[in-house]
Amino acid sequence: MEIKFTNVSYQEFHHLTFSIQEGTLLGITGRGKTKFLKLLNGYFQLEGDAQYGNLEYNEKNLYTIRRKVNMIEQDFSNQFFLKTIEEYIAFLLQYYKLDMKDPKKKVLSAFKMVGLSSSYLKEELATLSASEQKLLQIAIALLSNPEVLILDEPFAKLDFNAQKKIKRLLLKLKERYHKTIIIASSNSDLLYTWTEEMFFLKNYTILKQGKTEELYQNVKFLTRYHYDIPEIILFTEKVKREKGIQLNYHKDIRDLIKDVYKHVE
Amino acid sequence: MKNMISIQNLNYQNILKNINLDIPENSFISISGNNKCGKTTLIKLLSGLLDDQESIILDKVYLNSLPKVELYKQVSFVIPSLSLPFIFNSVEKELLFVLDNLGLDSNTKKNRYKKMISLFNLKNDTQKDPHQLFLFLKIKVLLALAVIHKPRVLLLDDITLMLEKDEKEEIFRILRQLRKEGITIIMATSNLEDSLEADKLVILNNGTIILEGKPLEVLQEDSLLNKIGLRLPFMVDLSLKLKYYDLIDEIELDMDRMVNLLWK
Repeated sequence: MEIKFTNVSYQEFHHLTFSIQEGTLLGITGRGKTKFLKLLNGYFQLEGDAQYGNLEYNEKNLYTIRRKVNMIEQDFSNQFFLKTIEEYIAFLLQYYKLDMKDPKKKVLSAFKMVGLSSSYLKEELATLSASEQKLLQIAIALLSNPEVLILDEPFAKLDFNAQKKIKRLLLKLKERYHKTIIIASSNSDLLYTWTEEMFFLKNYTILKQGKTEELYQNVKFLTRYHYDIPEIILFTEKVKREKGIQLNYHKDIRDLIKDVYKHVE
Repeated sequence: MKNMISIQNLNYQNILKNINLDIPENSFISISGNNKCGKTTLIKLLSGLLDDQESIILDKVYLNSLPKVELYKQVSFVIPSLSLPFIFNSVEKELLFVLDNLGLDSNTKKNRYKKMISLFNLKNDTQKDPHQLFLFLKIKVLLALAVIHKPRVLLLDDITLMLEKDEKEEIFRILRQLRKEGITIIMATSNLEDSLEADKLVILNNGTIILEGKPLEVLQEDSLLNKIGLRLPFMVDLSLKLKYYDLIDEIELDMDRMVNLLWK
C-alpha cells in the first residue's frame, strides 16, 4: 500500500505533498523529523488529504492505520514497570487488544523472525543490551502484522556490529516480506550508504525528495541548506573540484581507495 | 603533572575488571568502546552515583569518603540518559537557582550568569522551558548547569550522540574553553571521532582496558577496533588504507592537506 499525502498540514507543518511506495527504504533527515514520523503514524489530526492505500487518515481508521503503519520509538520504554519480557508482551497484547488465535505462537514466530531465541521470554527487561532492546521492539511491532515500519534513529545508540545486525534484519523484512521501511536519522553517512530514497525536511516541510544517491551527490544543495555531507562525498568532491580529477562517487571507502590509486601517479 | 584522579585496581560487579588509570589535572581523557563495554558504569562510579570500594582517588582523597555535597562541588557530570533534572519552566531560572545556592555576592552572580550565557551561546533561549528544548539545546543547558559552579572535574557520557556535525563542533568549542579555565574532562563516547581532541584515548572491552594511549596511536589498531564494533573516523580510516597502498606516509586528519599530499 502507498502512503499518499496531498497538501497536508498539521500545526507548523505545511504543504506536505508526497507519496511513499510499498517496499521502499526511505530516509528522513532535518529538524522536526520525529514529529514528521508521528504524522505518518496517525498520531495527529491532520488537515488536507492523507491516505494510506484507500484508507483516509481520520478518526475512524486511525486504529487500523496505526497497526499497519507501526512506529518504533527511539528508546525502549518499560513504562509499566514489568519485570520479564513475557510479562511485558502479555500486558501489551491485552492493552492494545490485539486479538490473535494463538498469541504464544505468534510471539514465538516474531521472535524467530528477528533472531531472538525463545529463551529470551524469561529474561528481565533491565538486563537487555541496546541491540537486544531494538530487536525486541521490532518483534513487538511485528505482532500487529504491520506493512510499514517507521523507526526513529534506530541506530543511534548501537555500536557498529549491532548496527549491522539490525540493518540486515530490516533489509530482510523489506526484501522478503515487502515491508516499507522508513527511518529518521541525523547520520548522513548512514543515510547515504543505506537508504534508497530521501526526504530532506526544512522549516516544517519537505524541501527535497528523491533518490538518495542523487540527492547526496548534490553537494551544492546540501551546502546551501546546511545539511551534513557524508565525508566520503566531501572528499570526492574536493578532489574533483580542486584537482580536476574525475573520481566516481562511492559508498564504500575501499572502492574509493581503488579509484584514488588509479588516479595518482 | 599531578594526578587529578587515580583509579587503582577497580572492580565493579562483573561490569568492570581490574581498571587502572591515572588522569592528570587539566587533561582531556576519552573513554570509548562498544555497547555494554562498561564506559557508562565507569562514569557513574567516578561521579559517585555508584559506590565503589576505595579504588578511586580524587586528588589524594578516597572518592567514597567524600560527603556527596563536597564531591558534587568538585566533580560534575552530564549523563543525558538519566532522567532530566530540570525543575523550573525557564532556562534562566534553572541557572539562577544553582547560582543562588552557591552563596555568591550579587555582582559575582550576575557576571557568572552572563559568562555562562555567552559561553554557551544561550542568549535567545533563556526564557524557553528546558523540558521542551531540542536535543542540542538541552545538552548545552545540561552542560551549563554542570559547570556553573566551577567544578574541577567534568564527566560526560555520550553527550554528542545524535547531534549534527555543526552542533558537535560547538560543543567541542565550549569544551576547549572550559579546559583553558583549568577543568579536567573525562568523556565516555561511542564515537571515536570525538576522541581525536583528547590527550588520551582509552578503549574498554568487556569491562577491561584493552588499549590506551595518544588517540592517533590507539586508532592505528584498526582491525582490533573494527572487530569489537568500533568504527574509525573517516580521515583516519582513509589515511590507514592509503598508507597500506604506500600512497601517504602518515595519518592526515585535514582533508585539504590530504588532497594536496596525493596530488601535488
